[in-house]
Amino acid sequence: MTAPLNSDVTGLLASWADGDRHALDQLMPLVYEELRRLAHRELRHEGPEATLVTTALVHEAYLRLVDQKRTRVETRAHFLNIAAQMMRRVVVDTARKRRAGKRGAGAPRLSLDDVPEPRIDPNNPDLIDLDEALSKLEAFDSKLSRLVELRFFAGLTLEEAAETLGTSTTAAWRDWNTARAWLYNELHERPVTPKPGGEGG
Amino acid sequence: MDAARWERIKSVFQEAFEHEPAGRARFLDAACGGDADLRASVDRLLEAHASAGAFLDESLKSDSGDASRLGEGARAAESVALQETPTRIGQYRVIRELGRGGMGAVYLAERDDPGLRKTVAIKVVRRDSHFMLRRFRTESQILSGLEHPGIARLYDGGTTDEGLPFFVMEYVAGENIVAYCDAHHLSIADRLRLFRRVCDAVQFAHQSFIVHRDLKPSNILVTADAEPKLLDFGIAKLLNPELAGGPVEETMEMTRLLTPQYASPEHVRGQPVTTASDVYSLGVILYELLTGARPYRVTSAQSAAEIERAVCETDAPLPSSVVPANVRRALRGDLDNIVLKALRKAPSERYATAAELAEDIRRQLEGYPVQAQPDRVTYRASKFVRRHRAAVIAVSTILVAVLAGTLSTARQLRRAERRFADVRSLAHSVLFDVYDSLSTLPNSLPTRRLVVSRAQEYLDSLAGEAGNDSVLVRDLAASYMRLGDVRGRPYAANLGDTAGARDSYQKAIALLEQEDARRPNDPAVQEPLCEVYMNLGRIFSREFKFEAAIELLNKAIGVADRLAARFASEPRYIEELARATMYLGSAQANRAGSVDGLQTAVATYRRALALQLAGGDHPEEFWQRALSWKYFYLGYALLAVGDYTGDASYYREALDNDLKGSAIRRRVAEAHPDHDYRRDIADALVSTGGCRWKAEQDLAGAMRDFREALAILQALSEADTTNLEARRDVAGVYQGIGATLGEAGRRGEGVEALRKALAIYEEISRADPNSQEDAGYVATVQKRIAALERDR
Repeated sequence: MTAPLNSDVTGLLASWADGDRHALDQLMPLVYEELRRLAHRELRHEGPEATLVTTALVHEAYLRLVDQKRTRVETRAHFLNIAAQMMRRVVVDTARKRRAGKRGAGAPRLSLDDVPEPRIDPNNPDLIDLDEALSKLEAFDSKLSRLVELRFFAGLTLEEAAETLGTSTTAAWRDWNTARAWLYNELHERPVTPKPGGEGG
Repeated sequence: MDAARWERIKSVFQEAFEHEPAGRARFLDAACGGDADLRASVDRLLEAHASAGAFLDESLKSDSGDASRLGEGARAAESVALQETPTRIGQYRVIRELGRGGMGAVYLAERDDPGLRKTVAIKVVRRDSHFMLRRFRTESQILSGLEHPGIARLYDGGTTDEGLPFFVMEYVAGENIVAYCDAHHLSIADRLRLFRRVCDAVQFAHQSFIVHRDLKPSNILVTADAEPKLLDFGIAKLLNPELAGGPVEETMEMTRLLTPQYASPEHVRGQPVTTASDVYSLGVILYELLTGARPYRVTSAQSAAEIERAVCETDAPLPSSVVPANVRRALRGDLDNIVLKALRKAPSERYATAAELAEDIRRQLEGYPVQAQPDRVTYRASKFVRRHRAAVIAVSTILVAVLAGTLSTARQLRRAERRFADVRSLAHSVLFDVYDSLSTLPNSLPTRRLVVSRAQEYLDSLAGEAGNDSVLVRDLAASYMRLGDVRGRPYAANLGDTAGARDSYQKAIALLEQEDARRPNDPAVQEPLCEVYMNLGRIFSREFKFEAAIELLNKAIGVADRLAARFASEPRYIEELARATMYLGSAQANRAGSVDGLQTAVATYRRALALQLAGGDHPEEFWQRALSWKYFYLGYALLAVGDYTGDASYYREALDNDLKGSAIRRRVAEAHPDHDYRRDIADALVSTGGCRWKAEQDLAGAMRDFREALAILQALSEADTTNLEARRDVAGVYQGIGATLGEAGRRGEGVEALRKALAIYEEISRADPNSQEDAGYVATVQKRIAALERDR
């Protein structure tokens, strides 16, 4: 059942690796769709309180989309790069949809097509804010933003992420700390908007 | 942001990050030069890093790697490849599925080799194999070498046709340890014994540098033969490639493969996982085995932050507090302490090894004190009492004193100071209560020496911790002084350990001088300081180290002078000043090799006497006794000057002083019949006896005084054979008798008495070779004997 998709993605990855930029445009929606589908399935099984196991999804997508017997060494890195970006998009889209639903008048009833917002650690930022900050970072240091996608959104280990980006683990560790610090500032140092009309003021 | 600018900021930040925080500022000053903007940007990043905590570290995925995080009913997305039970995995034929979770599935399988029918368990991991297998190749050799009856072997590993990694392990048919204990209604003792064997297996692996990382009841099976077996040793590390990296990678561990209920705080935080983390997990399991409950409310549904808070910040309730009343008693105390020690938040505070945990359990089972107890005197004493109920009755009064001291001090102190207080009160009890109790027992000298050396150890350990706490420093100094006293306080009952006494006194001086510098003019410091200067000064004087003695005694005079000047109405400070002066006179007298030297001593003694007489007439016992000493010391010196000069007027003045001193002593003894002043009286008699002969040639009166003194001192010496001072006193009387008889022309009797004195001085001199005084007496007496025999 997955055979055609399987060979498509593998072929496209190979083409992209060979310099075919067009292949990427075709790849991304395929990966996105697969990840979204898997996320949806996971959350439907687990209910709205579920934790999205994004790393499992990325790995599963990889197993499903890429023909293991035809892969080259760099194929996996290319795939993970794309998958991490797509995972970020899936997750952020989901959060946006969720937020829009909450703002709506009616009860936030989930339809089967709805994907509930993944639970986020309170220590972690608002996903939409993070996405915006990450886009800013991407504008002047895309390597750092890619690293965050790989680690935070795709759940790769430092070693995996380093290999995917083609750097040493030590360099990746330094970059990771830099990205984290920059994003932390970006997300936490926004001016606090004063609340109008405090009680008993 | 300008990309080039950012590159600069980034590189400075990353380099600064490599520096220790202490040296960071200096590096930044150099790296940023005058670029304040660059410096500010880097500082902001460093601050952010410092306060970011686990920001983004817990990735969105929260891959626990185990069903537990996803919940019991995790219908976690299963890889299509694992939808159905495979028929073969590698060279193994699958018999049936044993279980499955979010991470994968475990199958019972058989080696596809008719000659070698081996049943194995195969764990297939739903995770991409890329990194895991590389890891496996390096780790597998170590893991397959892990051969212990309590650890399920790891045989092999590989990838399935679908590219999924699998591990082939020894198949263990058994029940998880908690379920097993419950199903078999094991007693607490049996549970503990079983658990100790688990610890043994964990220890074995730790010795091979393998940490389990995921110890939990479902990984500890008990077979039908009641053998515990640990599963998945080292697998957690294989599943987590980052764990293989250096410490840097390890702190960044993202895919934390853990079961939150059993994971240690450091594991939950993503900090390095060590053998201490396994000890922690063992603690949780022990908690569960003993109580049926877990120490924290942690569920798989909780977020990473919630789990971290629960594990890292909640204190586990005492095991005995969560069980029904009938079990509570068995857990209260040692088992509570053992479990909580294993569960300490800081790895360094836990048992250092699984073996130590096992050892403590053994000790608990056998009724010995366990390590998991703060070093409390009360505790060790109570254990001792429990083991030797019959034997302790004689000692119990001492223990009660020790316990009482411990409890009352401990209660007033903050927890952190409790150990200090315990040791302090122990040292105190040993020195004051135990030592005194022992002193009344016959032949207790070896025990007393032991007690004293133990007390010294305690005090030395305390001295390092006293810090700047005035009360503690003074207390410690007082203990050292007491220790010095019992070892060798001059002219008092002691163990004859002059060197030890000197050491103790010097330690007391160091503490008090430090305290005196910090709080000048505090009588609570100056008083003991003056006292210990005097004691040490007299020891030096006795060892013929006159310069040191005189220096210390002058210091004592200086301190006493300041005290007496400030508290003119306090007779005790005047007495202290007079006494210090008197001791200075003694050092001068001992040093004197000439009549001029002796005259110096006489002048000092006169000053001492005058100082005290100027202080007024106080009826108090201490004042009166002290005054009598001033007369006697002056008398000794005058007697010596008379001997040197042949001037009989000195003898008469000496007798005059001795008689005044004697009269005071008798008055004191009569006023305080409840006190034992026999030695005082005997001392006075020896002095007057000698003088009666020299000043007035009254041999009968002299012998009467000597015989009375001898009777008293011999009785005292026989009552405590370890009291060297009493022996020395007896020798002194014989010396006086011999000298007097010799001078009176009764040389034979004189030599006989002197030989008795000589024998005693020689004996004492051997017992305390540091005291030059006795050696000096030996020489003096030998000379006198030789002279008498020559003249005879």
